[in-house]
Amino acid sequence: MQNVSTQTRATNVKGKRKISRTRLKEIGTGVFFMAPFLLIAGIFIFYPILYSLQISFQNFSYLNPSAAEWVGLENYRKLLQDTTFLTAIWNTVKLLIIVLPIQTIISLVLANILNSKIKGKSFFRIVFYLPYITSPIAVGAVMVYLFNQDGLVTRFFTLFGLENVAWYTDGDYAFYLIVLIIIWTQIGFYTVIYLSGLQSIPEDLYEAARIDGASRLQQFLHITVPLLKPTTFLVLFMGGLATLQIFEQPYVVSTTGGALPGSPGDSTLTMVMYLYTQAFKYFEMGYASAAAFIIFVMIFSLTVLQYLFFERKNKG
Amino acid sequence: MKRMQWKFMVPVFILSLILSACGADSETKGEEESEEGDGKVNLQIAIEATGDIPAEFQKQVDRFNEQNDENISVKIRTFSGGDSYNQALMGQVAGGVAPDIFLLDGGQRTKTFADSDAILPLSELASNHNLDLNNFQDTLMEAFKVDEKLYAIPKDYNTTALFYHKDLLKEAGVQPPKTWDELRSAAKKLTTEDRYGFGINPQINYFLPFVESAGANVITSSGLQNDALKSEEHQKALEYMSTLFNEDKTAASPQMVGAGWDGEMFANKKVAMLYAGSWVTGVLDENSNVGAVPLPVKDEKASMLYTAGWVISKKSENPEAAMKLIKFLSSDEELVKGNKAGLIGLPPTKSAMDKLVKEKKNDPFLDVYSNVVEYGTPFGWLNPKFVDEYNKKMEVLMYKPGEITPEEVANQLAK
Repeated sequence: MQNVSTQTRATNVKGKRKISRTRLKEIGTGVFFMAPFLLIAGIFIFYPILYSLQISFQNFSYLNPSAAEWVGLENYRKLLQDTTFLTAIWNTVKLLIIVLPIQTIISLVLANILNSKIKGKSFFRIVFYLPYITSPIAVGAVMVYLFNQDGLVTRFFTLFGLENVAWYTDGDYAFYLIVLIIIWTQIGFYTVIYLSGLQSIPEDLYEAARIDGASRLQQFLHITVPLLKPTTFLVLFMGGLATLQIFEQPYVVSTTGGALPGSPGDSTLTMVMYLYTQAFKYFEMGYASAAAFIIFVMIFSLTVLQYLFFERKNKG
Repeated sequence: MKRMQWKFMVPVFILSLILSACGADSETKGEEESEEGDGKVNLQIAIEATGDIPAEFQKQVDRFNEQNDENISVKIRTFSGGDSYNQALMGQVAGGVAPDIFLLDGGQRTKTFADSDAILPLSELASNHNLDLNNFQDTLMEAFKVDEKLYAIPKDYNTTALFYHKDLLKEAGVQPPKTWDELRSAAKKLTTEDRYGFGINPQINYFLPFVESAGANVITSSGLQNDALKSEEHQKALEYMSTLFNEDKTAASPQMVGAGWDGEMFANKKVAMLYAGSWVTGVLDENSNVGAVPLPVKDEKASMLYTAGWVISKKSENPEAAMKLIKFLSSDEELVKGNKAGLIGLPPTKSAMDKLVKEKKNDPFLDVYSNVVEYGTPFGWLNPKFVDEYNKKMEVLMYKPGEITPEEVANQLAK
């Protein structure tokens, strides 16, 4: 892009359309270096996205693509009346509202603890980061085992008055099991981001505060939290995107024992799980593509909103 | 800006030309390969398997190669099972590189492929090769007919039965139940602190025979029957199962006892009786003393059939050779051998089943299976979306009966 803008400017200034040989050569080199990306992205990203957009207006058969019929907005109309899809959206939004604040606060606190001078710091860093790099499938399988009826964690929670049931089969508990799993897997990653944010806060600020007699809590609230604001926005931004696209963990947990994705009922069905089921179980490609675009628009607009917010805060 | 973008396109265009040229190159090479070695016919057969080619299947194919004087070379391709098998296969068919022979579940799946003109009708081919279609179980053949035309040759089948631990029934002084009332009272007597009397995975996959036994034929070869779905008989069946789960508390699902699947909960004796697919006996150890009876009857006999069949791709260049292989795989000898080796379920032909019953005299189940197949309903008739909808509703009815009534379930499903 650099090439292009400079070039346009150059032509404008000179008022001529002719491009010198060297410029041409430069452009050629630039394009040459970008070609592998453009080619791969074109074939594997942009073309499929556009094709999928086309399919979303069609009644598309996977087996016989040439026989696809145009149905206009029919797929979209059906989707917005589909209570299962609306439930999936609501579940995902609910996840976002619950997961985001909790995981952000926990990672902030954890990062601060890890940043202080406690023993075995690097050990705990690894421990907190491990869930994030563990395969979601493995995490799901282990969680199902722990939260089974008479499972280790289930029994622990009965001490607090919860029932001894397999969490993933109970309509009330299953959703919160997903919440727990997401938070547990994600915090390691955001803790690391916060840790790097903490490094950028100058030590002398704390020193000055200590001399003025500020307590540790006051230091945390009045120095650490405000100065970490950019990091917090980053964490919220990334956490939001990850949560909206959540798929593996709820899929593994809900399909235990041959149950349906999203079971019991639709209590753990997320948007992406719904999309997956429509596309690769029922092979309703047109319908699934329409769902994909509704999800895309949702995530994209949220991203733009967050970005604008982030930018303004940064400037202000 | 606009002008410049074209400049980007030039190398992209050139590169894509080069790439497509490469593609075309390899395609022609592929064709040459299949034609080389004059007279040699290449066949590809696809099966569901995770990882390596099952040794027993390789042996079958080897035996085929020995018996055939013609030069047919068979290549086995494996796809991992379940949904991913369908995904992979559909991709291959759409891409025009499907194997000559592959397996499809009976019912809706076969219909989808037949409707898309991806597979060949087989009756004529079969009679050309003297494959006796009357020898196959009629109920199985029904699963592979689309508009009266046969599109697949059944490979094997599994069915459902009521399995019970003989020792537990003896202890409680209970006879294997023959009617719904007997099943209910037996389940009551067999329920103790450690176990439930009756087990079932509360899904239409195993529950449909109950519905049919109550007299509601919700599914036929022509599709879902709305009247039967709404009918009182259907509601009665739902109510009966809900009573066992919620009122009597004598029935359990695998989830309720923390088992991965129904076979596991039966093998661990978490339930004394289990209505399930015939494959559950595979997990029993040799000491277990288990018997089987057909579904306890309300008004009609019923059972479920799960069957897959061999189909021939429309794109196949050698349908004749493909049918030859299918005929070989459907021979009594191979079917009996395959069943004994654990490669296939129950033999789909009457003659092979008779032979198997004779050879495995001490198998307590075969007799039941060979009976229930005669009045079974192919599970594949149900479309996967309906199955999921039904199971969701049933889950609520079994686990949260306050939220929905059998009548509501029946009416909502009928739409």
